[in-house]
Amino acid sequence: MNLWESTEVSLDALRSNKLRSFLTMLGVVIGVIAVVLLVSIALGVRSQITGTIEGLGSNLYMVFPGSIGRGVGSNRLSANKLKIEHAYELMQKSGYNVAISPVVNKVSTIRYGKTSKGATLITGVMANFSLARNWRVQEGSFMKKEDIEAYRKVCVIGQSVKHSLFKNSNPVGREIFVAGKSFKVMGVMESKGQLFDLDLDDQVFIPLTTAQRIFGINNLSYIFIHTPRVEDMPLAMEQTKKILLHSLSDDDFTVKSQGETLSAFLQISSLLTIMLGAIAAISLVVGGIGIMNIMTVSVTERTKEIGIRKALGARDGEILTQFLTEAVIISLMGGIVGILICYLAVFLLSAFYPTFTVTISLLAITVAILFSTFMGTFFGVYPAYKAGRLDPIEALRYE
Amino acid sequence: MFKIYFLGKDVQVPALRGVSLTVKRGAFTAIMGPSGSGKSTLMNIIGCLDQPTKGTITIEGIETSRMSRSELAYVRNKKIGFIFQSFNLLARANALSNVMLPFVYGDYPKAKRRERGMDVLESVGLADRWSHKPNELSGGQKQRVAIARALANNPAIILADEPTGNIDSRSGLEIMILLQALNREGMTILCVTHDRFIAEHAEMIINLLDGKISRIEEVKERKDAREELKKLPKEEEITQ
Repeated sequence: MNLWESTEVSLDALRSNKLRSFLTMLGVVIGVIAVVLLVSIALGVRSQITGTIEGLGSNLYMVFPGSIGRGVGSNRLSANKLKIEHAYELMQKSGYNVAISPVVNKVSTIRYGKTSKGATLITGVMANFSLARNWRVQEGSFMKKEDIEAYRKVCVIGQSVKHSLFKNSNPVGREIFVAGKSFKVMGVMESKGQLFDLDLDDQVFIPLTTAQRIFGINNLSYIFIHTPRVEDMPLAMEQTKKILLHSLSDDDFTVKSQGETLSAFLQISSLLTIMLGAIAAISLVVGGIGIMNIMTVSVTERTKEIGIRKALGARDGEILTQFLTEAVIISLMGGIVGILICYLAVFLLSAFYPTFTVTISLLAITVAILFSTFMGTFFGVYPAYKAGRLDPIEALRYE
Repeated sequence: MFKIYFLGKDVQVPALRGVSLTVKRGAFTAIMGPSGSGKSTLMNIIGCLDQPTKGTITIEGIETSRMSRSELAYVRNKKIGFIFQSFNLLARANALSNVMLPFVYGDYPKAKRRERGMDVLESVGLADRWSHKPNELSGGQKQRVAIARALANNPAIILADEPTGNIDSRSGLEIMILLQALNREGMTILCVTHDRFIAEHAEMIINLLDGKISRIEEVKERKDAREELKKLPKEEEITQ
């Protein structure tokens, strides 16, 4: 009996008990969907976030107030001692042609005419922000040095702000209200997209000086530092630390590059992907046990048939092959159906949520197919072996 | 030839205790005996479904008593044609597929399987029913399909275990007609039965008792199934 013949016999047996075959398959289908979708989503989110972080600029590093991410003992809640003076000091003393761009963040309500918009990120920046962040203006112009020095009430808005306040009309030259004060719109930034769950385009940029005055704050949220040459990054970061240590203690600030943030994130996300995959794999194992269960029942139920086949000359191995093929077909078909459903699910998801981009990972598919075939074989072997070893006389006598 | 079953630790059940017999090629032999006499065990051993505890058995010069399981399967496929009391057809498969089943386990050329299957169905008079499933056939027809299946691989011997046990007497005689016809064409037939009337269709009757041969008798007035069928009342008479 060759492989094709045994496949034919198995398919025939599966067809004769359609509902049962379907239900057995369902266990595998659900397991495969769980593995493929969860791993794909996890990988998709990971690549999206990696892309966003890299999009921030690879030759960018930041100075945060306090000691972030230094493990046990770090005091996140200590007073923010990072001041504008430190930024000025860095500007004076830093080499490597770095661009120092201090930033303050505040959340506030904004309004244009009768349209108002709550909880918008207000970012106070210096004139070099656009350069340091590699983020250009699309319409109008960015704020100038004089605007900063003169505490002017001018602003540049993000794409999302433009859409919610101005729809399609040109906002340049109009007046909007930020925290109750009137600001003149100088320009609109190009779109930058999402960072984690934060919409970067939902932002209003105003002069740093103005921001500190209207919000009554004198410290900085963080400082962006852009190095023109990537190779200079490690040295520039060392230098920044040294300069800041003149006036601040080691606990008062943290210098971190995008790369470090990225690698920390990647570590967490790989762990998450593996965990999600492992949890999903449990459902595949449950599916496999379902196969074993049904195969055992099926062998008992078809004892007579096995007896007949043996009387007609079937070898132990041929009976084993027949039942094993059945188990493998169930799990393989389950795997294929599961993957098709995954594609359908992703298609529907991306149809309803265009921003949600998940590409089904080929790795996940390969793993799911191999794993489900392995399950079929592993859990099919024992019942199939039992079927093959049945004594023909006993089997023929079975009613 | 001996066959002893071991049940548990110390319980031994001797099913055959020293049976010695030779069946000549082309003979039609019946085996009779009460239940427990060992006739099923003897059939199973001859049919290569089982092996003797002691002694040897040879089919067409090949000793099967020391063969491996897969060698036995090969002999069953090539040399033995089984006919069972309960037909033992696959319920899912139609008559032709049932007849072709032995080909799956042999090396019968694929292109000729269908032709050969139809030929043997023709020889039992069921060619026109080839697509019928067992539950669409009468008891007698099922047994004829089983005979066709037994013939498919052109075996050395046909082993019939109570072939008429589950069917009415008219169909039973039709089965005996077929077996006698096959025997006339040279087929070796061994038929187990507890029915003396059926046994007398054979040339020789071997009587078994308690695992031993008690008596071997030549059938003096051998019955011809065709004549016996004529003696039966017509079907209309039964229904009246």
